[in-house]
Amino acid sequence: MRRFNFLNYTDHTEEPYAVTMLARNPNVTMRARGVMEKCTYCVQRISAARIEAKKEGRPIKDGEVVSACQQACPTKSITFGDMNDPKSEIAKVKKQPQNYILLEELNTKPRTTYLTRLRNPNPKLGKES
Amino acid sequence: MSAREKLNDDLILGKHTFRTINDKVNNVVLNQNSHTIPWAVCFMVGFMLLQLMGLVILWLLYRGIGIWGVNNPSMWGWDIINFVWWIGIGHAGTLISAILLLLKQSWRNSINRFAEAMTLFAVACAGLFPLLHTGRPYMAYWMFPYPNVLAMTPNFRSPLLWDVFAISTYATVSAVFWFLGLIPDLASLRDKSKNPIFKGIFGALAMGWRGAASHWQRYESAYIMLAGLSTPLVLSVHSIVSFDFAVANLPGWHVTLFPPYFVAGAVYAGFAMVLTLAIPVRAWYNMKDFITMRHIDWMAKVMLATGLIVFYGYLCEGFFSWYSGNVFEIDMMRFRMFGPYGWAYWMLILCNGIVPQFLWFPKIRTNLVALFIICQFVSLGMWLERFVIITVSLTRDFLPSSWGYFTPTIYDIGMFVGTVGQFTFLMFGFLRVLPMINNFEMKELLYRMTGRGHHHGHTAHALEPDLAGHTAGDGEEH
Amino acid sequence: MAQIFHPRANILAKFSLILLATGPLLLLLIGTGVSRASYNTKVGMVADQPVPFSHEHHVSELGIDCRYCHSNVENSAHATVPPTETCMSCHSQIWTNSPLLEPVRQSYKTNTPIKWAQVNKVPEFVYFNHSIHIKRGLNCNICHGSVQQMQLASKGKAFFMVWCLNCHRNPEKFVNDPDKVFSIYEKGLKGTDHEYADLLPEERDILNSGEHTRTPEELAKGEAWVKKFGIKKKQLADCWICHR
Repeated sequence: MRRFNFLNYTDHTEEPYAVTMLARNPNVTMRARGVMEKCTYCVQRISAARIEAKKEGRPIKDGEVVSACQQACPTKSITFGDMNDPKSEIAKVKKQPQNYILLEELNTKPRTTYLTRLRNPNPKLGKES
Repeated sequence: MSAREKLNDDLILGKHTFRTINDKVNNVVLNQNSHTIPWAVCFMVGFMLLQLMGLVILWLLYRGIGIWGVNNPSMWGWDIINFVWWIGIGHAGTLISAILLLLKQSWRNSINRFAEAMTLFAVACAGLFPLLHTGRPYMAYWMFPYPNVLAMTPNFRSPLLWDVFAISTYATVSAVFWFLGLIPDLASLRDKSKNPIFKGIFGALAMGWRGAASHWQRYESAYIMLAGLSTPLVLSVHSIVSFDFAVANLPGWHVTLFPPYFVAGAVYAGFAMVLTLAIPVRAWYNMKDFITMRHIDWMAKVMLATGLIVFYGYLCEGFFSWYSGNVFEIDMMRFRMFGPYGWAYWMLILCNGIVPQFLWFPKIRTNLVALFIICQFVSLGMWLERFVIITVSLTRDFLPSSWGYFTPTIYDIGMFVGTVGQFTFLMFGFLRVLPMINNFEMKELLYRMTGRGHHHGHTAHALEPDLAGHTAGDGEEH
Repeated sequence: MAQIFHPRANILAKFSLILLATGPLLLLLIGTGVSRASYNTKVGMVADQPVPFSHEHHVSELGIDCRYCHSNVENSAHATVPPTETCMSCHSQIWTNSPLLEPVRQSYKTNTPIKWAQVNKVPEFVYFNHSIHIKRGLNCNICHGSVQQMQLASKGKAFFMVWCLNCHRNPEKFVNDPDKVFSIYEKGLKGTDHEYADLLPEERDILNSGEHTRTPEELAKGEAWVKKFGIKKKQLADCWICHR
C-alpha cells in the first residue's frame, strides 16, 4: 500500500532536527512532503546484512535479515527471506498449498503472499475453532 | 439549403467592402471607446479571481498539496479533473484552425483567431494543475530529460511523462500557429494605428511584414505546414491524456475505449466553450456580420455529433462492464450509478446525454439563449465526466480496505474558479489588444465570395473550393 | 508612409529571433555550468575550522596513517572524526604551548568535543558506507582528492550522483587490491627514501590527484577483482543500494 506525503509531516526546520531524526530511525530518511511512501521491506536492515556479508565474503544467511514487522509479530506469522534460494524458510513456506497471492489475476506479481487460514469444512471431524 | 430566417449560407452578411471589414476588426483594438461595460466587468472579475488563485498557489507552495481534498485512496482530485477539463476545452481551437483549414472549410475564418487564443489560454490553465500536483512543484523540471548531475532520465514508460511532452508540444505549436496567423493582421494594425507607441509595438511584432508576394508565398506554405503539424496533435494530446487513466490497472480506467472517447469529449467541450464566448462577444462588439447564425448553427451541429460519440462512450462503458463479467468492473459501474457519487453520474447523463439532444431542433440551434444554456450544461457535464471517472475508480478500487471518500476543500474551489478567472482575464485582455477576427482571411473570403472588393447581399457563396488562391488579401492598404 | 523603424532595426529583429531559438539552450548551458561549478559544489573550498589542522603535515611529513585518526573507516559506515583524546595523545607532549592548539586543550579540559566544520557530506537521502568501499580496494583519494597534500582540508570531488554511478555501473574501473589501500601513502612519504618508490603509474596518479583512467591491462585486472569479490553489476546501480 502506497502513501503519499501530502504535507510536510516532519518539520525539517524544527530544532534540534538531528535529535528528531535519531528519535525515529537514523537509518532511514525522514521523507519530506511531495514524496511517495511505501514498504521497503526494511531496506536498511537488508543493506546492513548485505554489507556485513560482503565484507566477510559470503552470501547472506537465511534468517539474517529480520524485517521490523516480522520482529514485532508476537505470533511469528511473518516470514522474510530470499525467494530465489530454494532452501530458505520463505521458499518452503511459499510452497505450501495454502499459499496464495492477493489479486493474482491483475498480474502485478507482488512479493508479499499470504497463507490462508486452515478450515475444516466437515463438521463431523470436529468444530472449527 | 433551407431558407430559414436568419440562417443564410453567406459567411459575411451585410454590405461589406475590404475597407469596412478592415475598419471593423481593427477598430476594436485601436479605438479604446469600443469596449463597453460588459468587457470591463468580465475583465475585472477575471482579474480578481486570478489574484485569488495566486493566493491559493502561494499557500500551496508553502504548505503542500495536502491543502487540497486529495487523500490517500483518492490521490487525484479536482486538480486532475480540472486539468483534463481545460485541456479538452483547448481542442476546439486546434481543430478549427488546423483540421478545418486543411479541409478548406471557409467558415473557420471568422472564428479561428479567438478559438486559437482560447486554446492557448486553456492550455495555460491546464498546465498549472499537473505542475502543482507534482507535490514538489519546484522540482518539476526533473520531468525533462536535461543533462543533469544525477545521471537520471525520466521514466519514459510512464504516461504522465508522455503528458509532459504532449502538452508542451501542443502549447508550443499552438502558440507559433497563432502568432504566425497574426502577423499580417499586426501589420494592418501597425499601418492603421495613430499612436506612435502602438505603431512601434505592432510594427515590431509584425516583423517587417509588407504584404509582398514573396511574404504571402512563404506565409502560406508555413501556415499549411504548421496546420499539418497541429492536425495529429488534435488527436494525440487527448489520447495521451486518456492514457494517464487507461494504462493504469484500475477498474473503470483500464479501457481501450478511452482515447477516441476522450478526443470526442474534448472537441465537444471545446465547441461549447467557443460558443459560450462567441455568443456574447459577437453581440457586444457587433460582429454579427462576421460570426453569423450559419457559423453558430454549424458549431452546434459539431457539438451534437461529438456529444453523440461521447454518449455512445458512456453506453459502451456500461455495456462492457456488464459484458466483461468481471466482478470489479461490474461493481465499479454499480458504484458509479448508485454509489456515493451516483448523483454525479446521473447529472452527467443529464448534461451530456439528454440536454444536447435538443440540438437536433434547428429552432434551438438558432436560439442564442437556449444554445448558450446548453453550452453551460455541456461544460458542466464534461467536468462531471472526469469527476466520475477519477473519483469513483480511486475511492472504490479492488480492496474495500482501501476505499475512501473525496471531499473538495476551499482550496480546490479556489484553484478552479481561479483558473476560470485566469482564462477570462486572458481572453478579454486578448480582445482588447489583438484583432479577435482574422482580418485578412475575412477580406480574402470576401474576395472569393464576390470576385471583387464589394459585396451586395447574396452572390456566389463561400463554400466553393479555393480557386483564386491567397493573393488579394490585404489589397486595400497598398 | 513614414518608416517606423530604421533599417538597422533589421539586425535587431534577426538577433532577437536567433536569441528566441537559442535562449533556452543558453539558459540550460548556464544552469548546468553553475550547478557543476565549485561555487555550488564547494570543491576545493576550505571550511573555517576551529584549529587549522594540516593533513599534509601530519600524513605526508610525519607519516601518520589515515586510520590513526579515522579509526573506524575499515569497519563502520562512518570514517569518524577523531575525539580530542586522539589529538592529545601527541599534543600533550609536543607543541603544548602553541596558541593554535588552545581550542584542543580547552576541549580536553572541559570535556566538550571540538566543533569541526564538516567538509565532505553526502545528501541526507544517501547512505554511504565507508567500510565496504575500503574492502573493495578503493583508495581514500579516489573520493576525497589527495588529502595527504592538503594544508587545510577541502572537498576533493563533487559528490554528484552521476559521479557515484560512474563506478557503480562499471566497478571494474575502480576496484582494486584491498591490501594496498593504505600502503601507497607510506610509499609516497615526503622527504624520505620512500618517496614514490615502487609505485605503479595508477597508484602514483591516485596519490597525486585521485584521478586515473585505467589502461586495458589495468581494466582486465579490475574485472578479475570484480569476479573475485562476486560483485553483481546489475544490482550495484539499483536505487536501494544507496538510498533508503
